[in-house]
Order: sequence, then structure tokens, then C-alpha cells
Amino acid sequence: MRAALRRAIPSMFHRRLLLLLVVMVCASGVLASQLFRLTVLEGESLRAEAERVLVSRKLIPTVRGTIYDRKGRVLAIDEPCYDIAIDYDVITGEWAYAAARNLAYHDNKSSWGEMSWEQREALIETYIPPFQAKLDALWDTMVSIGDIDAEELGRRRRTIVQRVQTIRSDVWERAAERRSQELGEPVELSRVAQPIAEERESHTILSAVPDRVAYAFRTLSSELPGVHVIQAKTRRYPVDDVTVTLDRSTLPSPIAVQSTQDVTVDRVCGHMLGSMREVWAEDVERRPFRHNGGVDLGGYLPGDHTGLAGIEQAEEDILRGTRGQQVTRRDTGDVQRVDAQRGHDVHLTIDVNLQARVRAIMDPDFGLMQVQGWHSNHRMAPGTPLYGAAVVMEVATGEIVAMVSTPMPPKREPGEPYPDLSTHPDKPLINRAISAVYPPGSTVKPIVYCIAAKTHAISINEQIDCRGHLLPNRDNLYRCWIYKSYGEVHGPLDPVGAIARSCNIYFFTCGKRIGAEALVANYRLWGLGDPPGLGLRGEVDGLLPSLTSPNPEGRGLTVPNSILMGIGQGPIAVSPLQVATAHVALARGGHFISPLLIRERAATQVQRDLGISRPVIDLALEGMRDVVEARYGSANHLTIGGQHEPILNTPDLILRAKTGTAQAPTQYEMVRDGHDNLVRTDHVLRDGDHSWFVCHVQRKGEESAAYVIVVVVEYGGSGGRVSGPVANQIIHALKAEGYL
Amino acid sequence: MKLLRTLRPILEPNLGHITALASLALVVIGVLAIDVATDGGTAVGKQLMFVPLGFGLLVLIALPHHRRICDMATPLMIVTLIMLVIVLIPFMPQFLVPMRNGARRWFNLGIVLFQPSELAKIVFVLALARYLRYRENYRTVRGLVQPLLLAFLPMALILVEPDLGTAMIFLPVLFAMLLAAGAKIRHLAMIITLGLVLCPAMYPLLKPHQKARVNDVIARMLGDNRHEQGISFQGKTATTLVGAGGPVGRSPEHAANLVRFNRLPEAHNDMIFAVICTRWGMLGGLIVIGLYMVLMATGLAVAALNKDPFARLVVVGVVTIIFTQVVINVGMNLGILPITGMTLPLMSYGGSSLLANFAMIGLIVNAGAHRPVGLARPSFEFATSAA
Repeated sequence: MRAALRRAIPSMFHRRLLLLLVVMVCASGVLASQLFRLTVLEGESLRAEAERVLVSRKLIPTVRGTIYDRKGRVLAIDEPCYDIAIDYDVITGEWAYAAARNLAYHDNKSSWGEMSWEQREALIETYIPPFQAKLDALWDTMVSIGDIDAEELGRRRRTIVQRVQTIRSDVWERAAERRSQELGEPVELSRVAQPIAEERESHTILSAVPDRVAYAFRTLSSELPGVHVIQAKTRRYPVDDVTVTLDRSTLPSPIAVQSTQDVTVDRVCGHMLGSMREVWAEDVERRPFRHNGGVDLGGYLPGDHTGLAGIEQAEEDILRGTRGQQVTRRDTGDVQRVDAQRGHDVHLTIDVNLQARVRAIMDPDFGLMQVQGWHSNHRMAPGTPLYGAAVVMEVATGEIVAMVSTPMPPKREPGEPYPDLSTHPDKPLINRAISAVYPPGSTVKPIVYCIAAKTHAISINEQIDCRGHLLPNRDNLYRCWIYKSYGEVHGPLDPVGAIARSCNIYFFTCGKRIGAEALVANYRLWGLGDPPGLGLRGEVDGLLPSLTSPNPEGRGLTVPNSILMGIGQGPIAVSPLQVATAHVALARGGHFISPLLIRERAATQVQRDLGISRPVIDLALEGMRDVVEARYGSANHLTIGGQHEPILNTPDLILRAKTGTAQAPTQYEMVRDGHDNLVRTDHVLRDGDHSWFVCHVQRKGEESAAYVIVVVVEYGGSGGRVSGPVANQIIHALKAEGYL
Repeated sequence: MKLLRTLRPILEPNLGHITALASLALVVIGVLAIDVATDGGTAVGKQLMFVPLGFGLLVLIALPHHRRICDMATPLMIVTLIMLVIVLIPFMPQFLVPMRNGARRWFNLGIVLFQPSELAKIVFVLALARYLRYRENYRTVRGLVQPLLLAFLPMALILVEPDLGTAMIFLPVLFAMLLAAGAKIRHLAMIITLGLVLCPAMYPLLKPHQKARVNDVIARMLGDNRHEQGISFQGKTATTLVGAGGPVGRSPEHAANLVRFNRLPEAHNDMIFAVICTRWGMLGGLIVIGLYMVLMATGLAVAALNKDPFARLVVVGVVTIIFTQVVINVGMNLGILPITGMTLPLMSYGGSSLLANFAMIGLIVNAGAHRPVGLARPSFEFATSAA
């Protein structure tokens, strides 16, 4: 080969030139192939990338829909406001160093290149004081004009820095993870550590400031570093801090006075409405603003807000609306504009005034929701606050007029950390009306009678003899409450008597005869153990055995299951809303209607006839009426100091009721051990049974009840002593608001 | 008539004319691209002003016989070295030796800033060609020491300025000229291997910004794009714009807008190749690379046809300078080499660099026009022994 080349090109110089030429051609070939890769193979994507800068996009904010109550009162509304935001580097104070460095460089440009790093730092140091003074002036101005405590201001700054640092480490970790998946090798955090958007942005320090404060900052903004007055929107909940005047004369005599009391309640619809929070990465991922190179105007950008719990979260997609945008081609000047679309409004069936009254009634300060002498609850100290839930439903429509859960969690202040309430013993975050489940206890007895009659387990007017216990030979199993407490028996009872006296033996027998499968199937028809369908996140189905799959132990339903479920115990636990829904169906004459909270969802309401004959309904309702009116009825009277006084004291109404007792586990104080696990201590926080009270309220002269009230008081003790007076006050509240 | 007679030697058709034509074509494309890059700025006018000046310089250098140039090589080298030392002397008054971007590379000549290192490249070629022309001892390892020293002296001075880009050109030029002169490939390969092995050891000696740029190009090749707004910005924007040109480019306004709104730094200067690709696409880029190939191939052909050892080596040296600059500049525009302050010969904006490039083309045309009289001793033809 070499010899052949030498023969062809005898001159060594020429051969060497040829070698040089070959090197040059090869190098040009490499350049040309890279050129081909960039222009042809990657041309389209690089072109799109290059052209992106030709378009400037200005987003037009939208307005979130308003939430109204049943009478058109505003519950939540977007209002324009001014926020005072500060650049992140000013918040951290790094701004002073950066500004000093710029100025130092500008003044010493010529010698900068010759200085060592230490010399530069020393020089910069001398430039810092005036900038630091500007920063100090800024924070002083914030305190004096912005009506904020210096300590609070410092805390907010720290919170922002902490939040940004958390986001940053999160972003970096995810970027490192992505990169290491791409590369197939572990990637150090420092390789992906670039500043995140939050570090270049300004952050709101004072939100929704009064106009005069905004104006003052705007005039000062040229002197203060990094201050921005932002036109923002704030979500306002106008029915906050409502003062309700309650009549104390109708209370049980130990706490009754002939006067009124003003009770102030905050966030009247708190649990129900929810609130707003800044979006998390998950929200942005669910519906990103930018996806596949395009833009979804309804999508989320970091810094957007989204609903947190309640209606705000449930109806997020309806309330949110879509942004508008103005796209300007920077090269041609063409402008394309898409207007913003306001979010849709949401109307609730709630009456906020009634809601406020029920909230006030259930405020422990009012007296009913704290341990009182007539409760006969000796396990908890008098005055211990009691918590629970109440639901008021309209019988004709299934609409929820009021729905309250106590206690209410503390208010969420913008920019402040929220306490971790997830392990709080009182569980304030839970909306007990829809999210907590309790065994319904005796409240289901009228319904069990209806089911037994419908399934022909008993005849309509069948008498059953109460001998104190269900099984003749076992006096320690399946006992009637009267036998357990007093060693007495009810003797033969018809359905009305059985309901009025809440006889366990009658309904043990019903449950046993109906059979567990049929009982569960019928409970579901009545809405017990089925999704209520309000649309709120957190509403529970209730716990009822599945008919299609075996229980966790792999066993099917047993006879003892059916016996216990006959009195609302055993494998059954439902929410207060579900009990109210079932009793609405009873008050409607056996016609089920699913509950409604959001009017916009009325089309999804379910109605069905439960197939109960009228005489059966009438007997069940008559039994409930005796619960109120007969001396032996559990909703008839309180015994205070040996004297009887009526639980329900609104004589111009036809009232039917049913009390119930749900066994509750003793609540012990929990503490965190060294490994951050929760451990039980011996200290008893709460003890006793949960107390149910169901009441059908009927105006005189009308055919059926207008409202169903359900009250549950946790650890309130058995029967109607605790929850009954609460229901009584709710009836008074319905009257005060003109519903009766 | 007298003028015609004076110009006669260079008017007779020879391969150097093709080199000159290719150069002029590159200059024209360069001026058009500068217009795109500056979007109607004054740069085009200034550049156009230097084109006739440069062409005049070309003719001026092409005219005298290269023997005269050979005679001037040593004094020129001494003057250049002195100038390189002067710019480095500390406490030189700023009006004479201004400091720019932390570097001292320029002489302030009142109207223009003169960069001695630009001159040093050419003068080094002349000096080395003169040194090697009648020798043979560089075919031994020992004989390679003097040529190496001749290169290292100006290189070291330029490195201190600092101007890594220009300094780096000396090595390929040195090796190409030694190769052409017939040095043993074995020896050259040995030295280059040694140099490459020592290269990583040189890394700690780089300035921080140079290290950062080297790291950046390696990082970007590995798919790390976190510095797109920082150190990578220039390189990343250039490759994006190259890609945006597609196969055949964009309309003048569109290309100008893309360059402007992507804020390509040094668009009319170091990054002019990216602008060419935005405007005329892959086709334009290939034409430019092709024209450089024509320039270099005809240059080497001129060297092949001339028998004078000095002329031969000068042309090889000049062609290598241009080749090296093109590869480094286009390479950094295409994202495969680190960003260094390296202009694209004949195309980048800048009067003094245009003049220097025209001077080099002038040397090629000179070699093409002036053949040695009579029988010349065939130079650099060594018997290739079995060793």
C-alpha cells in the first residue's frame, strides 16, 4: 500500500500535502455531519425552541365563581385586592451583596480582572453598607406603613425562605431522579442544582392590604428595593365571625335564664366550604398549564390557588374558570387575544343564618355541648366540652338546610404555617356530619320495623313478648336494655310500643327473621352504607358488610350479625347524614331521596320507592311520636333534681323522635415516643357512649314532617339527655328563621 | 501600462486566483450575514470599508517575490516578539495597552486596536519557513527542538495575555509545517502523544472561565442543560439557531428576528456561522465549509506546484492557520468545541482580523504567482528509508 502510494506520487512533499488534505477533509466531514444533525435531524425541535422567544404571552386572570347559600347570600367571593410582594433575594438579604458586587465591578472595571477573589470580596464588603441600609429601611417601612408587627414580619420572611428552600430541594431531587433515569447512573444533586423559578420571583408578604397601604407602597416603590404592589384577588368568606342572639329561656332549667345570649361563631360554613391554598406540584401535574408544547388556559401554574377541602375543592373545576391570554408576535406585532372566562357560580341548599344558629347552639359556651349535671355522665368532669354533628334536612326535597360539625379547626392565616391537626384527639379537621361513622343504634329501629314488615318477617301488627333476653336459656346474651339496667321486662309489645319503648328484643327478633343478607340489602336501599352523593371529598359510604365479597376474616354473614344489626349495632356504622337521609325517606312515607347540598348537582339526585305500605309507615311514625309524647318515651323528659321537664318544648308542632346510643371506645391520651410513634397513655380523655337524637318536625295541619333533624354528640352518654336539648334548640332556631 | 507591467506576475492565471476568488466569496457571504446579525446596523458599512483595504493588502503582499519576504522574516519576528512583551509589561499606560475583559492583547493605535498576536501567527509561519527551508536536521528528534522553541516563545507570551484560542493555533501550524517539510511522522506522533497525555495535567493551569467553558461543552454533550441561562447560553443559543435554519434557511427578516430575539451574543463576530445557518440553513453552512475546502485545497495545490521551499512551507502554514480557525470556530458554533474567542476567517466582523486574513491569502497568491526561476533544487524530497 505504502509502496503503491510512493509509486503513484513520487514526491514525498506531495504525499505529505495529501495527508494534510485528508485530515482537513475528515475534519470538515465531522463538522458537516454535526451540521446535518442539528439542521435536519433536530431542526424541527430546535426551530420551535428558537421561535418560542418570538412570542410574548400575557395572561389575563380569571375570576373564581361565587358560592351562594339557599337564599342568595354570598358565602365565598373573589374580590380584587392589592398584595405587597418582595423579590426573593431581597427577602433573603442576598440582594445587598449582589447590588454591592455590581457597583464595585462597575466602579473598578479596569482593575477587576487583576484582582484576586479575596481582594474582590474585600472591595465588595466596603460597598455593602448603603445597600444594607436600604434593606433595613424597607423592613422599617413595612412595619410602619404595612401595619405588621416586626416579629411577625420576620416570621413571614422565614416562612417564605423555608418554603422556597423546601420546594428547591424537592425540585432538585426530582430533577436528579429524572436525570439518573435518563443516564442510567446515580446523579449528584449538585449537577442539577440550578436556581428555581421561586428564587427569581417576588413573594407576597402582605396580602389584601387596604388601598391606602397599597398607594403608600406604590409611591415608595422607587426608593425601596424589590417591592411590588400586585393587583391580586383574594377569596373572601363574608359570613365569618357572625354573632347570633340566642334565647336562653327554653334551655333545660339548670342553665336557663330569662334573657338572650350573644354567641359569636367564626367561619360559619367552615367545614363545608373549605378554603383556598397555593397549588402543589401534584395539582400542576393533574392539569398543567403547558403540556405537549401547547397551552391549556384552564391549567395550573405554580403560584395559582386551588380549593382546599369542602365545596372549594369539590367544585374546583366549575368554580375555577379559565384564564385569558394575549399573544403578541414580537417580530410582526400581531396580537391574538382570548378573553378570560369567569368561573361558574355554585349555589348551596344551606341557609347560612340557620347554619350560624346551629353553630352557636353547638358552641360549648352556650352550655348544651358541655358536660352538665343532668347528663348523669360521671366519667368526665362537669364543663368538659362535647363535640358532635348536626344535620337539618328538608323532607320534601332532600335538601340539607344546615350541616354542622364541631370543633372547628383554627383559622388559616395566609403565609403562616398551619398546625398539624392530624393527630389532634378532637379531630377538628373532620366534618363529622359526613365523614365520621357511628353505629346508628336505636335510631334505626323504626326503619328495621318497616323492613321486617316489607319482607314479611313479621306481620304488620305482630306482638312480640319481651322476656328480657332473646334466647330463653341465655340471660347474659342479646339482652333488652331494661333487663340489663333494671332487671325488668317489657312483656308483649306491638310495633308502636316496641318503637316507643325502644325494646331490643322486638328488633333482635326482626333482625333475626329478616336475615343478615336481606337486612343489609334493605339498609342500602334506605341509603345506609351507600355513597350519599353530595360530591364533597371526604363523604363516606358508611360501613356495612359487603354482599358480594366475604368479610376480612373470610366468613359470610351470620345469624348474630343479623340479630345485632336489628338494633343498629354489630357490623354497621353510618354517618349522621346517612341517618338523616334514612329518616327523610321514612318521613316521606317510604320514598327515598338522596341528600342534596349543591344545587348544580340536583340532576344526580336519586329517588326510589322503598315498597313500604302506608299502614306500616303510620305505625312506625306513631311509635316515634310516642317517644316524644308518652311518659316512658326516651325523648319525653329530662329528670332534673327529681323533677321532670320536657326535652322538646315547642308545643305548637307535631314532633316525632328516636334516640340512640352508640358504644364508643374509651379515648386515651396519646403521646409521641422517642421513635415518633404515637403511644397510648393511661390518662382517659373521653369515656361514655355517643348519643343520637333524630327528630321529625311537622307543622300542625300538614300531612307529613317538613324537616328531619339529626344530632350526634360524641361521648355524650346514652339516650336523649344530651343530644335531645340540642335538637330542641335547633327546632327553636328553625322557628326563629321562619321555617316553622 | 506601467501598472499593468507591475501587476503582470500576479495577473497570469494560476491556482492562487481560485483561492482568492473563494476568499472573496466568503467575504461577501460574511458581509451579508453580518447584515442579518446586526439587522441594519452600521457594522456592514464598516466591514465593507475594510474589504478594498484588505484586497489592496492582498495585492501588495502578492506582488514582491517571496525571496524578499523571506529576507524580512527574521526582523519581523523580533519586532513581533517585542510587541508581545510590551503588552504584557505591567503598569503600561492604559491609553497604549488597554485592558479588555481582563486580558491585555491590544495596542491602541489611535484609530484601531492592533492585536500583535494576529501578526504573530503570520510572522511565525514566515520565520519557521525560513528556518526550515534549507535544513534537514529536523528529521532527527534533536533537530525538532529549535522549531519547537520557535513556536513556544510567542505561544507562551500569548498564553499569558491570556488568549488561549490564538495560542492554540501555533501547535497545529508547527506540526503541519514540520510534516510538510519531511519530519519523521514517528517523531511528530511521539510528541503529539506526549502532549495529549500531558493535556489533562495542563487543566489545573487553565483560568476559571476557561475551565468552566471546557466543563460546559462536556456537560452539554452528556445532555446536561442546566446552565442554559448561564455559561452555556452562548453555545446553546448558537446550536439552537443553527438548527432553526433547517435544511435551506429562513427569510431575511425571520432570520434576523430569530437572531435578535434569541439574543445570540457576538452574533456578527464569533457566532457568525450560526447566523449563516439560520439564514441559509444547512445548504448555506455546507457552501461555506465547501468554500473553505476549495480555499485550502487550492492553497495546498499552489504549494505542490511551487518548488521553492520557503514558499511551500509558508503556504502550508497559512492554510493550516485558516483551517484551524475554521474548525475551532465552526466547531464551537455547532456545539462540539468549547467557546473560545476565535473568529471565523474572512467572515467575522472586525477590520484588523479581515486585514490579517487577506494578508494570508496574499501569501498564497504570491506563491502561486512566483515560480522559482530555472532549475530549482527539489525541496523536502528525502529518500524514505526502510526505517
